Amino acid sequence: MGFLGININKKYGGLGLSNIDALLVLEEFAKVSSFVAWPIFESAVGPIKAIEHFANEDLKQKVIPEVCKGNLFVAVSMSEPHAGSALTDLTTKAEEKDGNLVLNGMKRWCSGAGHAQG
Amino acid sequence: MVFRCGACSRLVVYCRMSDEPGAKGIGAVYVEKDAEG
Repeated sequence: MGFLGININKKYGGLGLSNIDALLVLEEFAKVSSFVAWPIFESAVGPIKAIEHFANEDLKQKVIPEVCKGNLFVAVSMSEPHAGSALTDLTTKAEEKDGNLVLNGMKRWCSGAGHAQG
Repeated sequence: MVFRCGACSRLVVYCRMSDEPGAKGIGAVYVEKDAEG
């Protein structure tokens, strides 16, 4: 129905509307059901927006259209035992080793993980 | 990497990419469940 990716670029399957448009739609869904609103939230302001803004084109093409179609949910992991929503306090490190990124650290929880799927 | 997050198979993980202090050192990594580690 087009509610996923409301503010995502049309070339990735979104509607290309504004952030305000997406949030207004999200609000209306959330009034009725936070469970139904959650995927809309994730596609409008969650990790998909980070991918849209910062990922290389290959990753964008691999992930974003599938999220907009409703075939894929991507969870996000930020908070750590000693770092809440202040991401500047993060201690989990990403280091390049032998052409791969190695992540080392501990996260407290993963928002959306219970719904994210393969 | 241990995925103890329910049915999740894909994550965006925020982490420190460099020793640069504050927000400049923070980045995000897209991880799939079958990633090594």
